Amino acid sequence: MSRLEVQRSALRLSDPLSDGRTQQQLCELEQIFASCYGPCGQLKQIHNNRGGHIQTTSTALVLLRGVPVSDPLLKLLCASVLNHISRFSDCGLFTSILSCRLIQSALQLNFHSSTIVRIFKHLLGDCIRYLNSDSCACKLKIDFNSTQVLLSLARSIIVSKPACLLNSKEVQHVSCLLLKAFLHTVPCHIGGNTLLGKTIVYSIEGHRAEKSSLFPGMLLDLLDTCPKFVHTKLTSRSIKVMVFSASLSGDLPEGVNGGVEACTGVSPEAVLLESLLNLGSQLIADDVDLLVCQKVVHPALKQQLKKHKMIVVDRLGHALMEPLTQITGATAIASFQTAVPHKCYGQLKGLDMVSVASKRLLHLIPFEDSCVYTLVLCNRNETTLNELKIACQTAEHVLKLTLKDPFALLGGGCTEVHLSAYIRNKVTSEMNCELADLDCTATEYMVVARCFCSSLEYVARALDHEGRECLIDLSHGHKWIVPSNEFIGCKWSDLVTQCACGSIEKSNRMNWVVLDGNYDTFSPKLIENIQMENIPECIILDSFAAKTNALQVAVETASLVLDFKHVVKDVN
Amino acid sequence: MNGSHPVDISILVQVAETLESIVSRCFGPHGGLVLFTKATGELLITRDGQKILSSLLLEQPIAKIIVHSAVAHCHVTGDGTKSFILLLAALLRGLRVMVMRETTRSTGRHGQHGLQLKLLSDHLLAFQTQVLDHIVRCHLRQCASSLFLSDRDCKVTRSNAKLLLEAYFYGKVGANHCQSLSTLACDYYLKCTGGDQCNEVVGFICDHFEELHTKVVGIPSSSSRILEGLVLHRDFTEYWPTEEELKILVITEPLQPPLVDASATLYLQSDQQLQSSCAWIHQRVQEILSRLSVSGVRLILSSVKQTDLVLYHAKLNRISVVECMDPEELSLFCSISGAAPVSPWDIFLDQPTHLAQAQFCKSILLGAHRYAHVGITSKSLCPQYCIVLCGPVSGLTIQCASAFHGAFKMLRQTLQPLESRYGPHETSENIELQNGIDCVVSSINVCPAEGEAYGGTDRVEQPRQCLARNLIPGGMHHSEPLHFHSCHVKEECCGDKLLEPHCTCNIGDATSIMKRTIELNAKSTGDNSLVINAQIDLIPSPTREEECLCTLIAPGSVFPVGGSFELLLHYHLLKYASHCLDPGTKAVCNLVANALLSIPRNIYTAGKSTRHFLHVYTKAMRDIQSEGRVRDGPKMLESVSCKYQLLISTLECMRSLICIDCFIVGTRRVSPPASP
Repeated sequence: MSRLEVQRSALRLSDPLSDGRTQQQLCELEQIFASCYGPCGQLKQIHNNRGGHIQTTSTALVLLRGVPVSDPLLKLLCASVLNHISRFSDCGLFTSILSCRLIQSALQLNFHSSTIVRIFKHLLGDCIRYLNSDSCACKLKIDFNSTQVLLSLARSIIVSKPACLLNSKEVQHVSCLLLKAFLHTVPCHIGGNTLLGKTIVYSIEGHRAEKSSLFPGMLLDLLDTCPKFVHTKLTSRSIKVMVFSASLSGDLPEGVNGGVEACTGVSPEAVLLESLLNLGSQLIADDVDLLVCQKVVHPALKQQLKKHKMIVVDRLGHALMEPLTQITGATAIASFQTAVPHKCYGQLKGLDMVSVASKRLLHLIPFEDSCVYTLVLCNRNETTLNELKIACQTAEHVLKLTLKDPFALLGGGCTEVHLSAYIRNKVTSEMNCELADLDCTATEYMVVARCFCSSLEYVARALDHEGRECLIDLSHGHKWIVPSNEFIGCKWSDLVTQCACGSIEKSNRMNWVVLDGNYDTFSPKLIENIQMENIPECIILDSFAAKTNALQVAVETASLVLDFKHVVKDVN
Repeated sequence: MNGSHPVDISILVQVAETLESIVSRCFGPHGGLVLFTKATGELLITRDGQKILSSLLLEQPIAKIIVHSAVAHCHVTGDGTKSFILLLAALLRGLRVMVMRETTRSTGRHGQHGLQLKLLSDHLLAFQTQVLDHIVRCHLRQCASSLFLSDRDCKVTRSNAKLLLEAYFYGKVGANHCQSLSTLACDYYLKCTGGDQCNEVVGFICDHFEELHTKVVGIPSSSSRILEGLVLHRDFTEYWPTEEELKILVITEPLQPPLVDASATLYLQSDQQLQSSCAWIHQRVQEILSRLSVSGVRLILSSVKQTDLVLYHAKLNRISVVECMDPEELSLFCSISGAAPVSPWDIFLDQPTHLAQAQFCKSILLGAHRYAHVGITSKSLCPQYCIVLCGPVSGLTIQCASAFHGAFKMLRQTLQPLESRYGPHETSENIELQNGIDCVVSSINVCPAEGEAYGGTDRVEQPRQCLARNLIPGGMHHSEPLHFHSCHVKEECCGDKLLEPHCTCNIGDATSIMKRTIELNAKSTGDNSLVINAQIDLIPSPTREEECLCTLIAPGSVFPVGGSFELLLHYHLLKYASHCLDPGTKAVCNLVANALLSIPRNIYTAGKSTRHFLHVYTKAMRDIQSEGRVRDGPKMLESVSCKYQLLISTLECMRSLICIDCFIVGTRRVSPPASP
């Protein structure tokens, strides 16, 4: 029974961003994100006082879903970042920190918000054009002939989730597995309807991450005791597989909308069981080795088939049906009451019982050109395992994105610092032609551009949580970190060795300046040799597609939030 | 709040001003956005006046009436809710001043107010019927430019369409997304209609916009684009890609015959009965699908869920299936492609007819969802394209989608001719003319140019040019001048007003002349510039001519933005008021003229703009006096019929408001009158 209530008027709040509470919440939210950012980020534990699920994480996905935000403008910001993550999986924290920072710095300027928004949009267009151009110095082209860049990309992503608690050997092992899985899912023959293969993730808790492994085909958990005759079905000949999508439990078929009444002496269950057993005898006669059913199999049928040494797997679930049909080539049958056509049988290369970590699983071995692989991930406890699963999903998605945009951006904050130097240079050198389009004064343009660049630099500096000094070099525009705090009396060149992403070593002709926004503009140089083969081993990379989208979404969200004049709350 | 509350003009003004304060911050090119949150957590972003007002959930009854009228206006024209509120508030303010001024002369009691307001309401009606239409017809129509290439060729030029749409989106979504959305809208319009004036296509787009667009979140809004064909907002259950031409079957029932219907009961009398029934069902499904496959059907669109058996046989026959489609979408598909839903029995008994033809059918990934993308071959004029709108948050995409929808509603309104509601009419100055005309101009308006002093008692007797326009039945264009005469106009100036000049001009034969408008356009040689306007109308004759006079605003008429319509109307209303004799009409004309200025005032004083309102106003008045139109304004355009409609709706709302005497609040629900 619904209750009729008098509708109350909505509450209206003007100029929402000038409210002190909103600004304070924005500041706190930014602190949360900035402190989780990067491989040295600090973890957050999310729980609620009434009990319930406790999560320890540093990923944007879990944080945004778990942290309740009450202010509507900030809810908008979080929704925007979550949408970006659902599309690209990576750079969620980057997006959130950048938009919070842009909003906060814009609020401190005394200009009209429409001017600021216009200039931001213009600067964003400049950034994206530069990143997409061929002469961009922070972009790396991925050469699919060598695995080095892809491996570095996968490794950078795994390393950026500190809650996984992996040591360097484990990181290397997991990244190699991920890369192998990705490469295997790309099919060898491109036909009319080519699809990427699938990597199924199977997680096991309680073991070290070194025990993770990759298997071709599928791994199925046999909930019954493992049949002894599996070993006799090894790869002497191919395995015949029958896949059912209908329920083999002896229910009435679909399409019974009304009632069914049976006269005495008539038993529908017996009729249906009889057709099931007929099916069983047909399968036995056809020499089928493996029966897989998406739903439940009747115990009598199971018994009959086991007597004839056939393996029965039921309750597979909808998610695994597609990879199974892809490996075996079988067509899932929807009815058991008629004869099964022979063309619906599938083939497997072999079956095996494997022992992974502490579990014994049935391994369906496909033929060589199959694109379905199973990745078994292990980690010590539930928290670290969940983080590792998220990290692996992100890495897999990012690697798939490289198929469309075969580029990678320099990580470690170097891209942001480089972009900032580029924008500063462009703003001072090409000011006059821009002002006419933007309908603003020169001062406004300069000030807003400086605000934009310092937000980018802030995000780059947020990677470092120990308060170390960050420098920028005046030739390439990369970020350099001073390892220790004792630098009285030393020159910068004595203290630094290589830049934050690892691509440049120090040389005698370089000059450094502290990264606080007050340096003379310069034109960042293109690094000639980074495009060729001598890419250092431990370079840190970011996904190109994810980062460019993140940049655009961050600036657009900040512009949207700055544009609001009223907030109306419906209290019904 | 029970009981009866008297309604005073000051209450009306108070309510209107509150609404105005909310709306004015979001008005114009520099206005801001409003964020709505619901208790469910849903977020809505908008600058659209209609959404803002309807989401406020106001309790005040007067406010509810105002919002209701504004929203009703917006449904027709797609735009103008905020301007409605601003104009209404200004009108009510002016009305209060007028009423207060009257009551200071007499003892002000509430009853007195009510009577005054009632009289004013009558004057307003007269104003609408006589003065407004007349001014629009005679003055504003000439200054409007057209969207079309030329009068005969009804093709909309791309640049004009772009200017019109840009102005609309500037107000609806702000400067951020204005450019990209207006380019997209312009491209879509030109693609769907091919540039021809095709009102049916625009109307179709307006009615079915929900199904013709897809919203995608998580991607920057610059990735919005137009797709060929139709996107069905459902994923394939079974998918077999085809590149060649295919036939599509539309179905609204399950293909598998049910074992038992919903209202029936099956009595099983033997074991074989169940088995043979199931076998029969199986066989039927197999036959149906193989028949479909033979007749070339490669895609089945179903509004209900099909059983697993049907899907299995579809897979065996390589037919794609889309299930659980939205019935609206399915009906749109049927109307575009000419197909009709088929019953399973028809398929079985006979070859299936009413199949749709398509060029391609594939799966498309938009955002996080996978949809079916079909390219329909259709002979009708229905649009063959659909739109994908992207944005970082769903609130923004909803805003862009509703702005897009409104833009097409506005286009539809612009491209239709607007008809005068009141028919041709007579003005109070009516003089009969004979063949040799001896016209006596009854009143003249003299407006010296700004800053120029009018020299005292000059006797000006100079030859003037008399521009006579003939209206020959058969529809010659109104503004074509036919004759130029030199005639003598004797004017006597006395003080700062000219008295009755006389003009004697002989204008040819008058047998075929039904109506004549003579305009004396005087250009002086001296320092003073005089504009003399006189209207002389005949008693109108047969009805055939009345029809072609009824079209008040031609299709495709546009004005430059920035308040030029309002400024022009303001000028002409003031001029009319100053030579009008009836005090009631005069007061109303002044009222409306001053209220009209509120719109350009809000545009130019809000935000950071270098054009100050007064500067704009003086320049505009000068331009209108000298040339009859406003020069040097922004290049973008807005629709004349929408503006006119706005003014009419506002006046009607005001008329209904000022006639309210008191409102009665009760606790019991008032049931609607029982229908006979």
